[in-house]
Amino acid sequence: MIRSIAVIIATGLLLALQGVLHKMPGLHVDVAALVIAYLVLERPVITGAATALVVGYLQDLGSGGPTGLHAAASVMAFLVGRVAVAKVRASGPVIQGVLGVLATWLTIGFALAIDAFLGPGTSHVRAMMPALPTIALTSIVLCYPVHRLLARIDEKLGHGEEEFVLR
Amino acid sequence: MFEALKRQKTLLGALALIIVPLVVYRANASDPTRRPPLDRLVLFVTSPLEAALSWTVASVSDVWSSYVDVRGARAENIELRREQLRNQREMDALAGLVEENGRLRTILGLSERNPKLEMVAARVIAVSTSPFERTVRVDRGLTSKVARGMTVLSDRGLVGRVQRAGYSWADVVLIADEKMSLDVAFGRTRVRGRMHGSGLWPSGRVEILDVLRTDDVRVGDVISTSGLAGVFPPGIPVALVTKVDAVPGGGQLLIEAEPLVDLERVDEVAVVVGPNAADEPMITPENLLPIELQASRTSSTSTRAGP
Repeated sequence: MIRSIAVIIATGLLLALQGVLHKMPGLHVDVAALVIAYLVLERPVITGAATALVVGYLQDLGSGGPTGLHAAASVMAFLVGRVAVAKVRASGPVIQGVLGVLATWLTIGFALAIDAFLGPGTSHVRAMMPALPTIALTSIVLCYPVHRLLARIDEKLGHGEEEFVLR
Repeated sequence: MFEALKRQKTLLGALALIIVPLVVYRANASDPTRRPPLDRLVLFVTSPLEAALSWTVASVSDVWSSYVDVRGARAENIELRREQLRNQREMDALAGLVEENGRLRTILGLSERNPKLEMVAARVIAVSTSPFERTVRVDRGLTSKVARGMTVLSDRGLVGRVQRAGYSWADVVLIADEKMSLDVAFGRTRVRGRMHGSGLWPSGRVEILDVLRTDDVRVGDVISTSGLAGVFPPGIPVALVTKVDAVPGGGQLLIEAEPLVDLERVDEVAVVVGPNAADEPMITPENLLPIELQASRTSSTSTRAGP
């Protein structure tokens, strides 16, 4: 529990930083997706999904849109990521990078779908198209550093509190 | 029933974690302006943190931007300096082209004013590196009908004579070469003499010999080719008298003159490729002749035109 709260606080800080960095024209980062990728690899299903929910919620707050969109999309992305990772026995920076990009696309895809079915349906891929390559690129670049940061927090706070499915 | 639910708790938990935010979203999406109390509470807590972070990042960004601006200004300054140098070089090149154009026009004028003399324009491509020779190499040769013995002029006057010619080049011996000797006439009095080059020392000077002590020669007189022996066409300006001395105990004058052509910097020349018309003095464009020569020509013209 403590480790999950620590991850959430760290995510909150990273999201705040992301919001500030987005003032720079052309720079797009999806830190929440990278955190979800970390959760996919390092957390059991329920704990991970709950943490993903809070992470998504924080993203909702930062986005300025209706609450719940990114929260739901994050949980969905986490679960799909877990299913995908359960089939693959690999680790390391490469799988972290792949998972980071996958989480980014899944989150965006699920958010679009939720908006289309449950919301006003005003979001379109076309509108966010210019940002997508940058998001993918920054996800690849930042996936490993974010993973290392969160893993470091986990290490500081100790293991054994939760059951790790993949370990 | 409960046992079955207990077995599927993970699945149910996951479903709940999906459904809850969806419901919240559904409720909020209908009125995006409304913020639930929980949202407001969280934002109340996090917004100062966000503001502080934003301020920190903005400050760092400002410092970085200032640094980048300073570097940018420096780079711009360097670029502007380079551009200025480039422009200066271009202006120098243009000025050179203007001068060259003027010289070429004069050479063209020479050709136009002397229709009996066939001329070929040439460019100096090399200067002799030997101190024993005062020659230049031009970029015209046998293919341009340039051959040994031909007269070489510039816009200011006589340059020299073709010493040897190759397929596309020719060596021109300058009038300052110590092996050069030609018959000249003083423009004012038509007194004749023999001009000799003095090589590199004294630099650029020539000597005029065989002038009697009784002849009227003054400093500032213009010397031109006499046309005697048919080596050079007559009337080509050659030099300006700079010094007149009487040879002690002799009956001749020792005269020094300075070539009208700057032989150190001659660049464009014209080679007289046709036969020399010895019976007609060469007509040089008036505007580029030395003032003294212009005056003498004017006076001679007016004398001829008089009753």
